[in-house]
Amino acid sequence: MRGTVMVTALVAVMCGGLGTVAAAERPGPAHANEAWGFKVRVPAKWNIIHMSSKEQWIAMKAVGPRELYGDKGAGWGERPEMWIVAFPHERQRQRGAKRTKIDDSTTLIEVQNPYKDYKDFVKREKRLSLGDAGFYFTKEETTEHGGFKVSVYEVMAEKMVEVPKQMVAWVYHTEDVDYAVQFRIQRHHFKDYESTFRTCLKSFKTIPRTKPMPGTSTTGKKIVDVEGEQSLTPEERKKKRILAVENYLKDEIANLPKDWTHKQSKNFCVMSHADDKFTNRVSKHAENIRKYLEKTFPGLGDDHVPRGIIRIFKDNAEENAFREGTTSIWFDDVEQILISGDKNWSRLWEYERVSREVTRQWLWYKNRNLYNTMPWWLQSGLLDHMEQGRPSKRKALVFAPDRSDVLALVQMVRDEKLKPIKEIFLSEAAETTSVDDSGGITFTTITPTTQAKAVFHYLMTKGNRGSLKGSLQTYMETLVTVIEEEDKKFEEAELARLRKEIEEGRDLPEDPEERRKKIEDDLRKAHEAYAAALKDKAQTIRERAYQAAFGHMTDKNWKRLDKSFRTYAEKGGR
Amino acid sequence: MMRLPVAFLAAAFCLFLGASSARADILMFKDGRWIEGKRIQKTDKGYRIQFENGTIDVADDLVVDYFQTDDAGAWVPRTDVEKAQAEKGLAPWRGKWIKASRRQRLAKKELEERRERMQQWKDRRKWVNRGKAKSKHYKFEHTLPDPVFNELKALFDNYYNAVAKDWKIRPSKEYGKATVNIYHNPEYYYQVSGSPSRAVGYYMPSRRDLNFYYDRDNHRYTLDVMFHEAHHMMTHMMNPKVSYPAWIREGMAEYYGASVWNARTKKLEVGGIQAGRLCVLWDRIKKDKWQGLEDLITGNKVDALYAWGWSFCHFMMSTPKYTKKFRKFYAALARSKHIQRKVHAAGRMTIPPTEQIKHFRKIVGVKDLGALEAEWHDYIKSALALDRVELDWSMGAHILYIYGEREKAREFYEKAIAEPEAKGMTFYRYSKLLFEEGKIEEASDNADKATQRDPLLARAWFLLGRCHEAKGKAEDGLRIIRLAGEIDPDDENIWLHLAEIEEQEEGE
Repeated sequence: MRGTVMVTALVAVMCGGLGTVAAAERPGPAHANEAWGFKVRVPAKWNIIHMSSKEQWIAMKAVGPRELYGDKGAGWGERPEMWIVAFPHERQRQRGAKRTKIDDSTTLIEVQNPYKDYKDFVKREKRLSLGDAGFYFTKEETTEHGGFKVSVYEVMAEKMVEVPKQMVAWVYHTEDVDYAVQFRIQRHHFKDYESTFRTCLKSFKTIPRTKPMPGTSTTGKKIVDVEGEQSLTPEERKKKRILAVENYLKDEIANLPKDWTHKQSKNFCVMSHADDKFTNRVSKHAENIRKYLEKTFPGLGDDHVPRGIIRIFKDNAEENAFREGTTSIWFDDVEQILISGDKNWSRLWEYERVSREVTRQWLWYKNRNLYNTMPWWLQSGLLDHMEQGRPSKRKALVFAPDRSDVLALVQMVRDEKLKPIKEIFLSEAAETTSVDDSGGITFTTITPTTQAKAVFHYLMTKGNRGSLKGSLQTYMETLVTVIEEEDKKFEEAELARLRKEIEEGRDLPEDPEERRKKIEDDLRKAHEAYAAALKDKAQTIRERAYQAAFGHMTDKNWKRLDKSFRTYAEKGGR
Repeated sequence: MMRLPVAFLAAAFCLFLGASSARADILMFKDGRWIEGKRIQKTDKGYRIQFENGTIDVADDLVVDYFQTDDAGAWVPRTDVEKAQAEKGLAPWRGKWIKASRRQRLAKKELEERRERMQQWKDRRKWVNRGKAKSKHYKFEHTLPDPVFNELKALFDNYYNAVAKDWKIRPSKEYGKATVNIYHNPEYYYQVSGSPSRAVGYYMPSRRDLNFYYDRDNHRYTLDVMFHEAHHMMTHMMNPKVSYPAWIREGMAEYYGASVWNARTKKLEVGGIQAGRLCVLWDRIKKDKWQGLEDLITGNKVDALYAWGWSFCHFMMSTPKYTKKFRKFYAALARSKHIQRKVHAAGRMTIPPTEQIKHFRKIVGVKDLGALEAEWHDYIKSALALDRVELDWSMGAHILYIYGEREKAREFYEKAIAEPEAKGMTFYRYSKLLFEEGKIEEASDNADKATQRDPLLARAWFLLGRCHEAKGKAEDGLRIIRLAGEIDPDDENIWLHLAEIEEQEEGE
């Protein structure tokens, strides 16, 4: 009996021990890249990340299979990463600004400021690999390996970071490209992985290139001058946008790894590394949002909204690794929609992100002027309302307020902090609040108020009746017209003022010092006048749109509205 | 065949040896820099340094040490007295005349030691090789040369001891030991500390980690930041669990930031003027944007928190009827059991605004905050009026420039450069402002004055060179810019500019 108890206890201890300490992954098979021309071993079970076809410098990324934590479980979990960053020698010789005329309305300006070397890359792209952390090099040596001169670096990041991080990199100096093979991991785990890293670092080899080496552009900093787009007709703009999206998608789809899928629906292209069920749901939801917007806000503009791009990553780690690239994920000023299909991550949050970004993208293309000029409460109200849209069992789309917003709204009622709705509609800007974090640094931020968002939602749902039925749509449609008219007036006024200045000339004093002071003074006054005119324009737009949509409301009506909103708010928006 | 005297032959041989050894003069400056391997000559007023691209004269008061020798440790007599002593086989060493051969051995050894020390200081500029030191309640880690570090450490220790005594601060075991990290320049500070770009120093309570950099062009500013961050550290020591409200935390840190250590009386003199903050304040006042007291405390509507917070603390600490009570309130925030605190972040607690106001009224004995606010504003108008205070016009101008108030900055610079003690940095900064506005002649004039006041200010030489370029004197400009690069080989901007010029020339 005693012997059995002892054996059982021993087995329990062994299982407990194995369960709590997971070993570092051993070196896995080699991964080859025919475009960049290298082969290198990657730790086993690490996931090779799909990179954008526009990425010009990071040749490969791989992410560990599990979150690691700091000493005693400190910090947020983070997965170790392996990068290969390539520095073609020819590219480093380029410097300066290059202008390329794409078409009549588009000029591409590329800022050529290539990274000098790996150290320069680490400093300039610190955010990609180390976030806000401070860092320093703990090792800088040279050696030889595999017939190449190799620079060996180690980097430590200890300050302004939740958990200290460590990087090790071997930079292979080949004939035409320097390849940096880099590992990044929390310092606490470095020793466990050191041997795996060393084996992988030493495994690097060059192979013949059988595909073109990615890009000629240097830092990926491109400035596409699209202002000219506004001078095109709506039909010309439509053609241009369609072509731009299709060309982009062609490259991206061709670049997709084998285990990714892509699906075209009426208005979206979804590239996915998640399961089909989630992918289909996201695709359907995006279409439902788009359909809702077209139906609910029909009069916001005539511009064509091109096909939207949605990428679904397997998990959050993969998504973050994709985001952390040297190329912007923005395309033609509109961000691609990136989400994760990770079962551990709230898929509800992903619906919110899809809803919000589809709305933002749609409005951006539909009417850029409106997007840029609409009052703060309207923009935040609209985006937040749309963010709350999600599918239910019976309906394609239902809108329910966020729980934290509900609680905040109820508290506002209790604290007597609700503002009259008319005041919100006519106010210039949201409140500013000072946020003081525990690190002793104070930030001042402009925060959309909980009430403004709730008012919008109320007027789209429970409050959308009687004399207020469709009031928000009317308001937005009026805004479109008013913005166009006020913009035109403003431009004409500015033009007239300039013409007058040119015709009349200026009386400038002879004395150089006096002349200088007069020119400076005139310039300052011109700037102030311009700023004041802009402010007046914004005010006029707000008032005119308000008048058109809500001008029929009497003081009594406003009081009634405030009262019914208060009742709605007391119940948490239900 | 003539036979030359042996002594002559021997001397010729020595001279031959001496002539073939490189100059190894070392000139060490008070700001921690040194120059070696250049031809350095002692003059009446200081030292003349011969660079490849020009000569600069440096005043005595910038120099802390001059070591004249060559690689072999030999000494070269220059004056008649020295030559006479050399004839006797003697050479100077530490104020005495000793045998030349012994001097040579000692000098060679001294040179090796100095070079080793300088190499150590150079290596120390990498954080991995940083210098370390300990005190009872904190430790230091730094990338500074010893003379600079020792001075800052001594000041930090004096500040700590004075403030700890004044506020009865005895750090608990729970607090542990803070680390004071000092970096040799701003670029390295931002890289290693991870500091946000607008912070020139920070104290991280959760890590007990204090970080700032040594600004060799502005010693006073370095001390300002050091004392400011040290004050955060010390406030934290009063109660590690409490996070002070921003208005009083920063207000008092700014108040103490302006402290001066009087080496003669061995006392910390507080209540100095924060020139930059005062300028920001007056700029707001000019636009009639007065800060309300209750809004300052509640944080509802606060603009320029540091400036207003400092002025209010200055008012309360300098007004006799309030000083003791305000100090009591400040200490109570950390120590009083009667103050209700609520959990904030990272396990620390903060004091809600309503609670602050309640206890402020009670402890300071103020019923009407409005009346106190009026007193405070009157204090600013009178005691802190721009023409009443001894203002650091240069610092004020610099802060206004950073805030984009160029017109006002220019006004302050004009006042600053009119002062007899105006520093090279002041002339340089003004020159930079003028250069940005396209006023090349004025910029050139001020850059030139900057180089005269501070010949080691490489940036001033660089700007002077660019002014010459802008005036069409490219060759002169290039020579001056190269000189700037020799004076400060670490200034990347200079080398980038030179690299661009070379590329353009290659292109042509």
